[in-house]
Amino acid sequence: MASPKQTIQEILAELPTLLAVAVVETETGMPLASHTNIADFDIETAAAYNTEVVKAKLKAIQALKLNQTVQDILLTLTDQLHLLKLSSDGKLFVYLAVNSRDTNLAQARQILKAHAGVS
Amino acid sequence: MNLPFFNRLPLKKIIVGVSDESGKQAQKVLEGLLTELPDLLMACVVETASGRVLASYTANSSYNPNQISLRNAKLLRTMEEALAKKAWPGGPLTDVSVILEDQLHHLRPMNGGKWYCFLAVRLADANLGIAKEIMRRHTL
Repeated sequence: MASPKQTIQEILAELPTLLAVAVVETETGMPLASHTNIADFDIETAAAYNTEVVKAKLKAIQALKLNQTVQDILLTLTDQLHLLKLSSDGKLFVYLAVNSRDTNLAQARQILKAHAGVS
Repeated sequence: MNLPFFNRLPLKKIIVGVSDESGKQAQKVLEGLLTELPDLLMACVVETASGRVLASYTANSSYNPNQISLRNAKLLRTMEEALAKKAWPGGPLTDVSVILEDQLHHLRPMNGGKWYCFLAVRLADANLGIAKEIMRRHTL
């Protein structure tokens, strides 16, 4: 199990062109570690909104009583991909934002999958 | 009078919730999705502001569109707020996908963001790429 800081560094090493990456605590919505390549990007606010997205989606799944765990959530914006990957116990999630011109969905998912064992 | 018979969700049938033009349009979207993905678990077209289900289809009584329409509407509003406040870098939301253990949920705003279309399908019956493409084509 890698620490949040290690996870960020490893993802960054594999995807140097990423826009933003953060390991977020689901309970508080606060980032434990983060990195961004955009100058005026407020990662704390982004993490807080992402936490709301995760919670809203989990509620929708629970309403259907599916007994399934969420593997990941992908948001497609016009020129970006945002991925949210929950850790196995759901207490943390990794948030990754990339430019869809230089990274595709499959690449981004694989990288997150490899580093989701954060604690 | 509360008769359980009337509350039961008709299965494998497109149910149109409104009788006006928007209901017809929503029905057409679902018909299109069903032609290409006949094994889909659930699909519905919902008005984002109110959470009202315009049309829906479900293959299983445990997939009740009325139970998730408002929750998904709230999810979309949260994301719109995040984008409006520039909490996320980048432009309008195209779609949202959630990958579960053996199924996929896909949510796509349509009609200028006034409605959204929701699709649930088993990963054995479709993959993310197919689901995205089919949704894109039918929700124009």
